Amino acid sequence: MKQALTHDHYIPADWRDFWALTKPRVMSLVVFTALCGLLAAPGNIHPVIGFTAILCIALGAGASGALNQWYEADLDAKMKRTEKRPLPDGRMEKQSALHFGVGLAAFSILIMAVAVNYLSAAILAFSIFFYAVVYTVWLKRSTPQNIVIGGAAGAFPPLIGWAAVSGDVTIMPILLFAIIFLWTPPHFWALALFMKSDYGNAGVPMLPVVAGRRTTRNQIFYYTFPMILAALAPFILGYAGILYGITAAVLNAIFLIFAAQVWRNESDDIATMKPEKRLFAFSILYLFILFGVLAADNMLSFAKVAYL
Amino acid sequence: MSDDPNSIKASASDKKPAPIIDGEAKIIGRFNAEQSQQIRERQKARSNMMGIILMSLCVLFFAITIVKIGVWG
Repeated sequence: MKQALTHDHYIPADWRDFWALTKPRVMSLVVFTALCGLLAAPGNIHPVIGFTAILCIALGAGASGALNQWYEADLDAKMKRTEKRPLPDGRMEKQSALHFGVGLAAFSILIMAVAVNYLSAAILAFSIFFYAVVYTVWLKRSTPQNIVIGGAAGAFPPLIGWAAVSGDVTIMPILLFAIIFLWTPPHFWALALFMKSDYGNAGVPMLPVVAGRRTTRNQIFYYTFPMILAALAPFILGYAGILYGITAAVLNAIFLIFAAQVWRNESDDIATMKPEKRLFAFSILYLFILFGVLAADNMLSFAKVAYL
Repeated sequence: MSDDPNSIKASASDKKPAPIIDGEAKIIGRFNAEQSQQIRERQKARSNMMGIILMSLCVLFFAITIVKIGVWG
C-alpha cells in the first residue's frame, strides 16, 4: 500500500473514488437479481416504492463493498486485480471509506424500513452485516470455505426484492437464494483458479491456494449438481412456467459441460486455463439470463391471467 | 531553507509539494497554483455531485410521501 506521505494522498478524494468503493460491477448484478426477485414476487408494489426498494438494496450493496474495501485495503494492495482501487492506490483516506460505508449502510436500512417494510429492511441489514463482518472480517482470511458460506451475502438481494413486495418469505424466494448461494462456489473458484498467485501473494486462503487446483476443480464440478437442482426446482415445483423450465435446462446443460471441461483440465499454466475462464465468464451470463427469464416468465403468467 | 515545505519558496518551486493533512479540513502549508486548482476542481465536482444527489433524494422522498398518503392510489 502506498504511504500516506505522498502528496496525492492528501488531495480531497474525487467523487468517482467513492463510486469505485461501492464496487459498481458487483452492484449491477445485485440490482438485477433483486429486481428479478421483486418482479417474480406475487402481489403489487407501487413503482415508486419498488424503485426505492431497489435503490436501498443497491446502496446496501455499495455500503458492503465500501466496508469490504476499507477492511481489506492491505490485501487489495498485494493483488494486481485490486491494487488500483482507491485505498491501496492512495487516492483516499481509509477513514473516509469507513465513514462512507457505515453512513450508506445506515441510510439504506433506514429508508428501506420507512418506505418499504421492516422485513426487507431487516434482511438488508443482516446481509450487510453478513458480508462486511462474517465474510470480510471473519471467514475470508481464516478458511478456504470462505466463499461457500460468504456466498450467502450475495444471495440475499432476490430475497429482499421478494420481501419488499409480499412482506413475507416463502419457498420460492428461498429457492432464489439457494440458486445464487450454490452458484457462488463454482463462479468464484473458477476465478480463483486462474488468479491463484494473486490470492497466494495476498495470503488469502482460497481453495486453490490451500488445497490445490485438482481439489478445486473437483469441488467446482460437485457443486454444479446441487446448483442445477436448485435452478430447476422452481419449474419442477410449479413456481415457474415452461419458458423458465426450458431456459433453465439449456443454461444448466451448458454450465455442466463447461464445469466438466474444467474438471478434466489438468493444466497449471494460466495461459491454458481457457475452460476456467470460459466457465467464469459464462457463470455471470448464466445468472443474468436465468433470473431475467424467471422474471419474464412470471410477468407473462400475470399477463395471461389478466387477458383471460 | 528551501527544503522547508511551508516556505513560499519551496511551494512555488513545485519540487516538493506541501503536505496537506486530512483533506480540506486541516490544511497546513501552502500550495502552488496547480495544486490549488486541482483541489478547487475536486471540491467543485464533489459539491456538484452532492447537490445532484440531494435534489434527487428530495424528489424521491416527496414521491414516497405522496404514495404513502395514498394520493396516487
